[in-house]
Amino acid sequence: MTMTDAVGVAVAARVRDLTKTYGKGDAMVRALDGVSLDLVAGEFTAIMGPSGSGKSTLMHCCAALDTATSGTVFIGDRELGKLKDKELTRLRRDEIGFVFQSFNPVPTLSAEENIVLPQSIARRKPDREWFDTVIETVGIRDRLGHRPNQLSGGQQQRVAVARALVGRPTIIFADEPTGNLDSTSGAEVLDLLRRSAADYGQTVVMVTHDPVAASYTDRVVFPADGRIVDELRNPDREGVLDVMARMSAPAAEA
Amino acid sequence: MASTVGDVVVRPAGTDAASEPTTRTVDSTLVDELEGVEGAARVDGNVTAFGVYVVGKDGKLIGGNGPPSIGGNWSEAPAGHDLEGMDIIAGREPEKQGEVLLDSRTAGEGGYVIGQDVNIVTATDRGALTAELVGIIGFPEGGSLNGATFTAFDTRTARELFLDGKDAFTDIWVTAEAGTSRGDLAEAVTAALPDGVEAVTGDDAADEAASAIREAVGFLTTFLLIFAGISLVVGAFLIVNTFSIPVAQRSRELALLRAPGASKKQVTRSVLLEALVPGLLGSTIGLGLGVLLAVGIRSLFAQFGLDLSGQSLIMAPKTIPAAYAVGVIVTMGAAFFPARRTTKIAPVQAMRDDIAMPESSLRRRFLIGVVLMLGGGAALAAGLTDSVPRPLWFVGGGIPAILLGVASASPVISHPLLSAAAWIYARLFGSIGALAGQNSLRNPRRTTATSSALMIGLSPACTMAIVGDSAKASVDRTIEENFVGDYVVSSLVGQSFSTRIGREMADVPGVESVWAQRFAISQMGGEGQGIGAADPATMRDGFKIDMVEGDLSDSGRRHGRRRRDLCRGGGARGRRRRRGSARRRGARDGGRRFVRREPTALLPDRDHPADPGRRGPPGLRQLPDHRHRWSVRRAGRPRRGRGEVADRHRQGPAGLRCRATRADRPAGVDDLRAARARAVHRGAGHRQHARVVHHRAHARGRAATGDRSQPAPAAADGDPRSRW
Repeated sequence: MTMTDAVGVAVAARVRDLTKTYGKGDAMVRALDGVSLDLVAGEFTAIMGPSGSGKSTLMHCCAALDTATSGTVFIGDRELGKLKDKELTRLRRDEIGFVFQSFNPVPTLSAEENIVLPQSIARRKPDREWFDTVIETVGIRDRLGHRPNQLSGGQQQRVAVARALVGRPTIIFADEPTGNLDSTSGAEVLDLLRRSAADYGQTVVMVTHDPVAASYTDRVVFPADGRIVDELRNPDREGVLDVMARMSAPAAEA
Repeated sequence: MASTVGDVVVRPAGTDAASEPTTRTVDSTLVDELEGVEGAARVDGNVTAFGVYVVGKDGKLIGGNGPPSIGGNWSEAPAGHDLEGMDIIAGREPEKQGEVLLDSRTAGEGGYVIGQDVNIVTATDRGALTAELVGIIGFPEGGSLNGATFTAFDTRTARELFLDGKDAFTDIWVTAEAGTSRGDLAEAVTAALPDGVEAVTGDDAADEAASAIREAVGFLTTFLLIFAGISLVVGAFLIVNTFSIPVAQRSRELALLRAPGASKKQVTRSVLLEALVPGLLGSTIGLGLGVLLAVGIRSLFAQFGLDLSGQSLIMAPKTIPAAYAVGVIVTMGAAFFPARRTTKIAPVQAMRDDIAMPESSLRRRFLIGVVLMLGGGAALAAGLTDSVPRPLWFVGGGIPAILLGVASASPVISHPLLSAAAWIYARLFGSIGALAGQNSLRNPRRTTATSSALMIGLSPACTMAIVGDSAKASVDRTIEENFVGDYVVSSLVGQSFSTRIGREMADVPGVESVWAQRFAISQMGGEGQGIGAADPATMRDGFKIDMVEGDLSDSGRRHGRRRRDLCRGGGARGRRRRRGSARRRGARDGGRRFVRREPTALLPDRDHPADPGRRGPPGLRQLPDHRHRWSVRRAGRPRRGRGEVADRHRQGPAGLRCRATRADRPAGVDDLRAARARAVHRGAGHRQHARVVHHRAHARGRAATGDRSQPAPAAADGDPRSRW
């Protein structure tokens, strides 16, 4: 469910001139100011920026969790703005996986039930083999029967990743997935996301402000003041820090 | 009267079983004549009277609140339908004066056993009497008088007591021979009857009585339904509120389902299913509690003397589905709102901790609230000013509309109040107070949802308090406005009582004068019409009457008077219009207050010189034509200082009550009580539903004039049994 751009690279999601504003008049905040971005299929992409850069808003709009003020978002070959609510719901269910910063499992369901929730919502049987693979990958087999409140933060987040993976969506969005985790758990989750992309060809997009987290990815894009201002391929921590330093001192750069 | 009703009932024409026993009778010779009718197995004459009270050994009245206190003669007439009626279950039947039968419950409650003297209070001129209990009657096969008391004498005594010793009966029961149908017997009996007497089958008579009772309790049903409606609205509102208070939390949880792809429909369905469970549970528990409450109320009624234990509680089949439908629909509806709100906004928005609803939604809610309030207010005004058909519907619709409108607009209209409260908090409690104030302002919906619950909960409580106090004040004011005297003596149970009491009170030292008033409800043009009666000589002095037209002295004539316009069979609207014009007229007359609650025809009490207590106003149906038109006007404003009046209510052993009409009338109460101690309780016997005879004592001066109001009685003054 991908499309190929002019250069011949498959694109999982495409954003064009996306604008999102909050409030009115003097109080108006321009969270996104004409963002255009292609998210390449099978890649692990990080959206990296300081708070207020619009990175979370960008992702929410891409993931059909929020609506943009103007501009277009394509997931695969479908434009979100043109979808009816029913189709949007189906898209959320079948083609998008989401990992929240605050985990957000449904508290009344066990880990396993949470993982297969999108499938049970869709009244589909999960692919058992793939399910097992995912469980092995995230390493929570012994925790499947537990409720979220019996799991640690890292385990909850791995459950969330498993939930996103199990549906084999077109694209997985992760919103600061390590923001609430200690560094060890965070590293586990990041490794998991990278392997998803590398081993299974899963497109993953992650929002973060942590250079270490960004260094796990294939590509980092840097939004600032509602636009994409820079981009890095196969980043390492130092490279990311360099770009960040440049961004925070634009006057010196110029 | 051995049973509930005979096969065929012979009675004066024009009476029906619905009315209380009347002064009209059938001649006793009819009994012999009817025995010759083909198909008649036996004929029994009955004497029946109401207001025959039994005083228990402890000096307390038995029953009397609601169910009638029946007196009469004992006969062994069997009930229709071959039913086993009442029968003597112990002792024997009364044979001579001074012997009496009691129903088993009354005897038990009064603590009487066979052979003891029973204190009985009648409404007749005889007043109180004692008689030896010679037998107990009851339902051998089970049954109940539903709280009524029954006192039976031998026929001669009963006639003396209740029919002036006339050789007559109140009605006659004819029992059918085996093989004769009641309808045929009724026809045969009718053929043998003289003019002025009619025969109906027992079934018809029972139907008449039943429909009269249904009519009488109809207001109760309406009243209960109104309160059921109020509590339903309140309950529904509270449920909706309860569900809307944690709406932010709910919305967040529901958004968690929306994010991984649950459709709106699925979210809504899950919420509705979730609400179904508490809805079903709540309805079940509510039903159970309702049944328990009904049982409790029934036993409470039994305490008041309305014993319904003979009838098992009726649970109509429709009650159960209705209860479940209301409970489940309201709960599911209440749960639906947060679900709908969640599905209307983007999941991320719903996931934020504090859902800031769009301004427009608040504005719309405010507008809806204002529209509801205005519409409700208009409907209420239209209903109250009587400018629309079915005004009560408008009132009934307007009030909930205003309630909902206030609740709906409250997030906006409460803002200034909350701001003021926040400011005060901050002043009083520093930063803690400021925090509290800000919290209450942060989510105005949540704050006002909570306070709306309180508002709705308090409103029925206030309604009850206001209605209760108004009723009380209105009774107090009626007495104050209408009576010149210082005390009003009336029956505890709202029944009439013996004229003897008035005479005895007149003899109490310190009593200047006593006025008697008689009141009855009669039928006129299909409507109930109150008739009052008083001695013409006392009318001017004893009652606050302002003649609008005519002259009081005219009322000394033999003819009864009433306002001519009252005689028209017009409905409520017509009468109200007249009341309005009368009010305007009152305004012209120096702006004095004009109140006419129940339009009452006032009659001179002179038509029955021999025994005013017995016959009373004969009912408008039998009134001679009238020439003058006049109406009663009450003048005077309520005075201050009425608080003590309640304290002055006294309760006498014979079931009488003395109320001071003003708080500042201290003297004479003790004297009056002494009078009441000797006084006796008097029951009906009037042509129509005779209700109450007010005797009024004037204790201002010591001048003993006294007996202006009551013609000297012929009977029983020397009877020692009448004093106790």
